Amino acid sequence: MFRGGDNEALLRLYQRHLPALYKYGYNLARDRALVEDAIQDLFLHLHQHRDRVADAQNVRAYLMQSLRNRLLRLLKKGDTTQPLSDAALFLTDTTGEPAWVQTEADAERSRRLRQMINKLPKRQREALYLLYFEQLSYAEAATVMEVDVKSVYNFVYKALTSLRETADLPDFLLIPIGLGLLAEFFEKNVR
Amino acid sequence: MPPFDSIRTPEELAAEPAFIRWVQQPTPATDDDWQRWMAADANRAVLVQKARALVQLMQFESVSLSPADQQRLEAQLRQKMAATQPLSSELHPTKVRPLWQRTLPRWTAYVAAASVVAILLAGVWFWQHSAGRGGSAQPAWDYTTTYGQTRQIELPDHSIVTLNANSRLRLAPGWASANSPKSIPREVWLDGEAFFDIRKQPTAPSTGTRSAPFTVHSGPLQVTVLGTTFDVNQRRGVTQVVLNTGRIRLEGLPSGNEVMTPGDRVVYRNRGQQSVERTRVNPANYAAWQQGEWVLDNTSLTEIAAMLNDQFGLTVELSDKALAERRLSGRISIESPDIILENLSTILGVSVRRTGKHTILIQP
Repeated sequence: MFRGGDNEALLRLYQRHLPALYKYGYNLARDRALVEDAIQDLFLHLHQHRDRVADAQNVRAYLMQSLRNRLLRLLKKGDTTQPLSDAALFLTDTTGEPAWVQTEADAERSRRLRQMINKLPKRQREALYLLYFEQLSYAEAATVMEVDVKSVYNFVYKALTSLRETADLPDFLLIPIGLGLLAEFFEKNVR
Repeated sequence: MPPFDSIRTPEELAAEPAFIRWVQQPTPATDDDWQRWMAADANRAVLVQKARALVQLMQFESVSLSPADQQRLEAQLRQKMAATQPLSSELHPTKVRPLWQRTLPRWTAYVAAASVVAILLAGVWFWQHSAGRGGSAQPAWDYTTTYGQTRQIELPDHSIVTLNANSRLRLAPGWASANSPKSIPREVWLDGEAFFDIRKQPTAPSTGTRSAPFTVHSGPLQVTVLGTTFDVNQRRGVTQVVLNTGRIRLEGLPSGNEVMTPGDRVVYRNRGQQSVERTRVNPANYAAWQQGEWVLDNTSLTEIAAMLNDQFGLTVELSDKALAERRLSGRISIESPDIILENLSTILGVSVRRTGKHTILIQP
């Protein structure tokens, strides 16, 4: 990675991880300037203490964890931004639509489900974000959130089941998806 | 792929990394795996459909950096890296006896005591010089505001800048901390919107000019002034400068430099079809946000939607074209986004509905 320790290696690392770090930071703080500064400081710190990254098993998780720590520290100080409520962080995209939306009614249902996700506890939303949106493994998500793997699994599982309890994922989902799968199946096998 | 025989609910399936990967990035091989898994039990097709719907719900609000931003950040990091040396581990021998276990010459105690005093003095100096600027977490030359927030900044030359919401102002490096601020050129960089009240700064008679220039860099333009008040608004590829008092020179326009007089408004669009628009306006209307107001003058709902986005980060969706062309004049308080939306609803007789934390739908 950059055990060799030259600046170019660190900059390559920066180029590769900047977009994901920026997105994650934005969801943690909702303050672009603050996130930019925190990322720059993080890499400057790595530049000065380079032996530490070399020991990190998973660089992506390590970088996200470090950024998270920095941002939470800055936010706790509270002197850079207005205090943000947790309710404004890690929000699902309620304007977009998942692939299974076919009708106006589906669109309304997906909006409602996504709004339900937005009302889950923040830690659960963060775990969903890391697992599904950033596509981290449970172990990586655990590193980032500084909890054990079991806790991440619990966050995710609780979030998923509470969606069912409140929405009781009804059969409406089956119709469009069922049709889609059926069509796919025919295309593949009935030729 | 493991057999996943114990899975009984869509939630268990939706939490499986192998399943998530298949839904998000299917390949012919994983398609086959999961088709086979479904074929083994009649109930599994239903499980898969429900779990797939759950996985596909998990899209989060997100932002991305423009290539220009990425380049800017990388260049900035390169520069900072060049300015700081890595702390080489060779400088710290691995086995050092702790200080208290070693015998040290007596003079070291005096040096140590003197250092403590020096550090304390430096701390006091730093504290005094950083007090009152608000925000010790950012360096004193970098100021930002979030949505719905405005902020007043006194520059080292005693000029006053009022920063509007969602904006950023950076000073020339070293200006804020310089011992003699006058030796540093008066230069700032703006993203977003700010109102400037610039003091004249006398220069030494030998330079030939009576006042040192002050430069605002904003997107593609530079505004150079001696001492005046004016508003700069630079968002989504459009830079607008409105002059209240004094005279300013605008540089960076494709049509060449331009000198503005009070009441002049210049709008430069440099994204897509380039254009420069010059009009005469009442400049007070463009500075009204400082008093918590917008002054609308035949302003379209489309423009108001953009303003709501700039000021509060709200995404406003208009249900049809006729609505986008509805126009409004008058003063409107911008105390809170809800007040604006309520006023819009009553004045225009339209339905305004929150569809999400940051999204609004306006319908006839």
